[in-house]
Amino acid sequence: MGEFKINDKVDITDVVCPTTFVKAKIALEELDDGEILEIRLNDGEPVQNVPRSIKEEGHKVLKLSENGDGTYNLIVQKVGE
Amino acid sequence: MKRFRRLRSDERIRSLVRETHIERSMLVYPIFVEEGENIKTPVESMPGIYRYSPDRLDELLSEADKAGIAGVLVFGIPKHKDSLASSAYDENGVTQQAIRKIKKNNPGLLVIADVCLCEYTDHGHCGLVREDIIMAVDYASLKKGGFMRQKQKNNFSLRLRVVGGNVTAGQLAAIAEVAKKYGDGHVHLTSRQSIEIPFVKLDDISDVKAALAEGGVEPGVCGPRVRTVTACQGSEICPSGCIDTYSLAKELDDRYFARELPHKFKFGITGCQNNCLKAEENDLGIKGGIKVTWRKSDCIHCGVCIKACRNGALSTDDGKIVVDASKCNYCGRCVKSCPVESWDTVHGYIVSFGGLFGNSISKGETILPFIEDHEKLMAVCDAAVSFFNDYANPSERFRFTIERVGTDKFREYIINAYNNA
Ligand code: SF4
Ligand code: SF4
Ligand code: SF4
Repeated sequence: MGEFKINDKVDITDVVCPTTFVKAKIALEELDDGEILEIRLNDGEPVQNVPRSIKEEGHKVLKLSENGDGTYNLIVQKVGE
Repeated sequence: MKRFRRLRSDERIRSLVRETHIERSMLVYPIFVEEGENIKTPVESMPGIYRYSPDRLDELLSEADKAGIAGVLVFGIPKHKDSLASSAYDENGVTQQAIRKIKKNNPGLLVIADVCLCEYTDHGHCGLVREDIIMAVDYASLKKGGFMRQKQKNNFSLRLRVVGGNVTAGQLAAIAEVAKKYGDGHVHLTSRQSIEIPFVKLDDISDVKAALAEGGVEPGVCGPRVRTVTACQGSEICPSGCIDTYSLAKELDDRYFARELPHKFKFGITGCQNNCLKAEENDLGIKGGIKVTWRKSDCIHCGVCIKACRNGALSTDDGKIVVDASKCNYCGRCVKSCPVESWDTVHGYIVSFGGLFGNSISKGETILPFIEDHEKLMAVCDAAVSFFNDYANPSERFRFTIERVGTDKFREYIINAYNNA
């Protein structure tokens, strides 16, 4: 993950929809415009839906990568204050 | 002076000056049809005339047809008579059965129906008796106009015209007012996005219509015609929507609503593969979709789309995103989740035919995988409606017409309409 400078991380693999997105959203609120969040999320519904919800909130999705253990890391850049 | 006169003294002179001709082709045969089976009872007062049950009509009809007369005049004798003459507008009443039979077996005969209500009322009047007044009520047009007869005598549930499930606040206020004033203060939301106002009284029908019209509300329809066009929220409201379902519902409603057909015909429109409106339940269902092509230039290779696709239609190959067309169902999830919209898209329609969700249940079938062009969509809808109109037997649902006439023939009919549009 060397290509992005990560400002904060959040793990949402311990919650289920719709709390997944809520937790990610709260973590994003803590950041400043342009800062980068790494979100760890589960396969299935979360990986299908969370990136899209983040896009619909107006933030910028940069990368999704597989961790090899059934989880993924989603790299998101916060847009706006 | 001698005045010459042409007296009608012999056949030739009579033929020359005859003004009134009677020919076989001008005759109409009265037939009396009685409810029941295997009936042929003589009518004492008219020797040689019988009452037949519908199953035995053929004996008479083929003779009448062969004789070359113009047609028949049908008098129905129902088993059930009541004060509302309900057998007169029962879809399976004896007159209705007889007419269907004649139209089917002897389509060449003209059919004249006795439309007087006296045969159907228990009091014998030619209209409805209410507080000693005899009223002529046209039940067929009441039903056509959305007034559904209730179990409770003289009460009607009025169905309203709703398109795509949208009702304005102003309309709702007018509906609420009418339900309070003329109904019993409640409305019913039907399974197909319509609103009904129950307990409307026969006497109030014209006042109710006027009050609703003032609030911009029209009555709906029932019976053998194009019914309410239903729709989900679609792309104007719902983030998942691939097409503007409401505009399309309006367009179909303008084009077809209340059109008379051999049986009911239902249109339903759903905005995407989530299928909230259950398109395939309808005689003609339309589902929105997006045909996608990956655009290399904008892609940041984030990998989100591959996971967003629920059908496993996407994969990467040497830095390219590849769409497997055999797996793609046009759901559009890849585009909607892509952070940079790195996709070229064509919005279009997936149309299904012959869905049923009543006494029999069948899923509508798709013939053309994806219709991109709006004009072609309309041509396909027109073709489905005209196929139904031309080939269906009375009271036969679209599904059964397609099966009886032949799935291949129908398929060809639709594909032709598509190609020629
Ligand atoms: S079918 Fe699709 S567009 Fe329509 S309401 Fe459901 S999710 Fe939204
Ligand atoms: S449109 Fe739907 S099925 Fe087709 S590739 Fe995109 S996500 Fe997959
Ligand atoms: S989601 Fe968009 S940017 Fe990301 S890999 Fe797919 S096409 Fe490229």
